[in-house]
Amino acid sequence: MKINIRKGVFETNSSSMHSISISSNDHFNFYDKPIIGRFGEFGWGYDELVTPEEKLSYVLTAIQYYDDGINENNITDSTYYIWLNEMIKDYTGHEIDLRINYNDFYPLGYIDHQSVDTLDDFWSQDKETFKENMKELIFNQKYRIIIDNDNH
Amino acid sequence: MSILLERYRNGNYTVELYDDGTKIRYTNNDEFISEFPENIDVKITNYCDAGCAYCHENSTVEGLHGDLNAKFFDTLRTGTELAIGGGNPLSHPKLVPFLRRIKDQGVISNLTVNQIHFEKSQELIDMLVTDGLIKGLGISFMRYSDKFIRAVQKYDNAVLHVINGVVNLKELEKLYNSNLKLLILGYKYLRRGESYYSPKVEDKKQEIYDNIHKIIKGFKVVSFDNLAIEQLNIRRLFTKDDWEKFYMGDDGNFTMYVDVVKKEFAISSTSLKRYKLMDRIDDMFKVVKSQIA
Repeated sequence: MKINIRKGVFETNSSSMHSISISSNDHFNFYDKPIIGRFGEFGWGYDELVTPEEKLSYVLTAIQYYDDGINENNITDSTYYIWLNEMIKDYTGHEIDLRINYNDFYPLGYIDHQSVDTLDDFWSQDKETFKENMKELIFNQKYRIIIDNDNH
Repeated sequence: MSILLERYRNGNYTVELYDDGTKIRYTNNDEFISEFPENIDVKITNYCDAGCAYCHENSTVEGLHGDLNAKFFDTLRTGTELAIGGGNPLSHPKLVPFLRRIKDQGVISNLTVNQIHFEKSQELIDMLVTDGLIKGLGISFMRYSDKFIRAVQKYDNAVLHVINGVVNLKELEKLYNSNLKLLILGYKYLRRGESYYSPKVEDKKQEIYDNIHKIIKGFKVVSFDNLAIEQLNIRRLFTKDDWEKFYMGDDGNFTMYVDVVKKEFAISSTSLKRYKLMDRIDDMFKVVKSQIA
């Protein structure tokens, strides 16, 4: 079923119309605080990444596999990180609150070698396509990232 | 809990309209195909004594009143919303009998006035709301005062209208957390909007752009017209699915504009292409839809 909703306002516009309305109380919930960006260890699984924070963690961890030469000291210089941060700021109103644990053996986390191409369909060299794809992946509830292996 | 005001069919879909203004349209098809307009922006007068420097309607004290007995009003369907404006629509001598007649037809009237006229005409507005002659009340915001805000808060369905590029962020911030509804309109580079324009307009637009998340959190509801959506890139705030759910469509798909002063109609009030008024709303809407096809 196709559905359109105008929330909580009658049509009073004298030039065109209320083409979109946003209720501050409904599910369209803006973040009060910055979203925390952590790197993760995504091995064999099984695991499902559902929340925006979990999915962002996977994307952040994936950057090192798409951008050669990236390490914990220059991750914020990565073009993909810059695009990702722009998208997060546009959507939530805050930049990523990036947390790097420099004492970890893998400060940027890791993704199992069998899964490093999981995001290939979302990853793009075009800035706007990348931002739009990542917004969908991270914030659209219909997308979840499943970590699994072939040993069963 | 909202109460259902109207449920009606339009083309291949159903519309539900609730007493807080919420509208839901749904269909089992892939797209909504309308046969008549859900919303009509009706200009009933070009008379206004406010003299706003940015007025894109060019309304003045020399402005004329429109014909509220135009035949097409009799052809409006139950549940259709009218966004009645001017000029100052409260100045039209036949406004109240017109609203009574149109209410009996099942048409939902909403009225937009300037803050100055809102403040001067409290008794009349009280009567229009109490008698159910208008549902939505748009008020073009000009300046903050405690007294004004208290007066607005009396009306559940009042919406403050502001123009992107005209309103100051600091003025908006004074309105935060007051349980108010806000409509942000795009800046129109038309008529007096052209002469009002300066680099300050761009600075103000940038302020709104940069602070849109805080603005949305500061109000009960924030809505945007298509021009503001474009100027503020509101699409960035939505995922694809949410956008498809909440975006109500381009001008002319479900809406149109009628100027009963000049006896003409168009896709919207900013359309330069105008047509001579017809006797039936469906015929006029077919013309509008043919223009956007």
